[in-house]
Amino acid sequence: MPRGQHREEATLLFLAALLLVVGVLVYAVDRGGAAYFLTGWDSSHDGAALFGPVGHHLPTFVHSLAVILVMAAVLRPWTQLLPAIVIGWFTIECLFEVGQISPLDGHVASAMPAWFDKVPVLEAGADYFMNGTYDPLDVLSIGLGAAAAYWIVRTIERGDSR
Amino acid sequence: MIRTDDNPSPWRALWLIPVSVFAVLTIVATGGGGGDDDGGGGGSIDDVDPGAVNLLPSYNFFLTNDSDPGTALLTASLASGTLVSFDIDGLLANTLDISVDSNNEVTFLSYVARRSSQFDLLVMSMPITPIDGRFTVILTEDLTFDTIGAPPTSGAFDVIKSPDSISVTVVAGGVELSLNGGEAISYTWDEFANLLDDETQEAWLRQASLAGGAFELLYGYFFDVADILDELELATVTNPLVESCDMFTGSPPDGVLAQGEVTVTWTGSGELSEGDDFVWDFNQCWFDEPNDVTDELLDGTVLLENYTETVDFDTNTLFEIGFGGLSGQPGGVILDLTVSETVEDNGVFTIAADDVISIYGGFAMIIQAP
Repeated sequence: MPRGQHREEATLLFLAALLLVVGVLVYAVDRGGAAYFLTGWDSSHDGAALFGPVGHHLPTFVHSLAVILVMAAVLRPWTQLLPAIVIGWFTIECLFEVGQISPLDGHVASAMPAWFDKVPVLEAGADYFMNGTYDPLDVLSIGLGAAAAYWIVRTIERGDSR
Repeated sequence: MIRTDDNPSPWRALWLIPVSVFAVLTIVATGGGGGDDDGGGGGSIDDVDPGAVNLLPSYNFFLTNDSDPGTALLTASLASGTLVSFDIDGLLANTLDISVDSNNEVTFLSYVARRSSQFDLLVMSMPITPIDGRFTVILTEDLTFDTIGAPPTSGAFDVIKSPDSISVTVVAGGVELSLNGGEAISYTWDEFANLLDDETQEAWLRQASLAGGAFELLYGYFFDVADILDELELATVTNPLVESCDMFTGSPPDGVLAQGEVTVTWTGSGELSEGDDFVWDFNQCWFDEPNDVTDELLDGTVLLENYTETVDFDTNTLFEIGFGGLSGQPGGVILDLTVSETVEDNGVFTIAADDVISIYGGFAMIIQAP
């Protein structure tokens, strides 16, 4: 049923966009704009953190969740691929986390080609690995995000099939 | 043809490519906060008066091999004919504490070579000696230097030359050395340094001593270069910047000027900008260490290639400065120096033949906000 399919996709994409906005808010408000994509952002929020301690791991949670939702929307006709999407993206996010462990971070940063330095966003790659901190709780939050994504997609599927 | 759920277009799956790229970029984009450069949408060094740039109390600094295949590894050629080369494995990561006075004059206070950083030492002699070979130096604990130029006050590193592993642990006034977990032997710092040249000592002790000296040499050159970073702006104005070295306080060694000079030449034009090069030329430049009968005489050139400086436009805070890059960018600090040790005896300075070393090759260095 194409109409139901489109509704599912729209729901998944809307949820993903909402989640990414939450992730941006964490960086913009609680972390004073300490991210490449917020260069120039002047955070005037100097009170208690808006998201509290949850904000420490919220970005990794919502990012893995949002990306899987978008991928699930793209691959909506092939619902059997959902477990592969979940596991695949969880693995990729974990690799980025593990890449921040010293001395691996140095190897990763030094392996980046020089032309990255001239490409917006990619130029922040070395900083991401060298200045980022590996945290097992981030890995946990990525896992929770992936699991939540799986549950949400399956729930929406069931809702539409009724 | 109308497709349905049962007959989807396989091309649709291609949307996964931009989605994945976007997803990866959004991960990377969470890094590099506070930084700024041409592509970052903020100000660069060209926009900021360097004298007004704020400095943080603490910076990270990274050392790595010069990526230019035409540049040799940083190598010390000892008078004995032994060559010692540094092959930095990835990045050598460190933390540096500084103080800044009201004139923005920077004083380096202390630094920490971070645990798990590592480099290889390649030792080659003619004829071959027992310390020859390639061995790896790995920091097993943070190596803390409370004073610049002084031995560390705490920390530990291993010197590994398969199948042997030498543990070097900093203790009060010196080190403890242990081979393959065996009994630890204590040495004062002077004893430890002298092990290298003592051919009666076992090879593993001399290799450990060499590794200790390697830290001193590598970080010594890093701080030499770091020390002139705040003079580079001046060099672009006076170009070249010429300064007199210390004058010998007695008869100089044969063939050596009573007072040499050091020249910093900027090869760029206009305003100091990214990618600029400097030539740091030492003409028989003598450095008098007060209260020390042995001093250093430098002769030769240090090329400072591919200058980089990035300022956080929002806070006008220095984010990054150095030569070369961490990700394979060309440039760095490239030395071609002869370093001689002068000794004074009743007002007469001499240089012993075995106290002359040549330093050549290079490394990249970047100081970066944490």
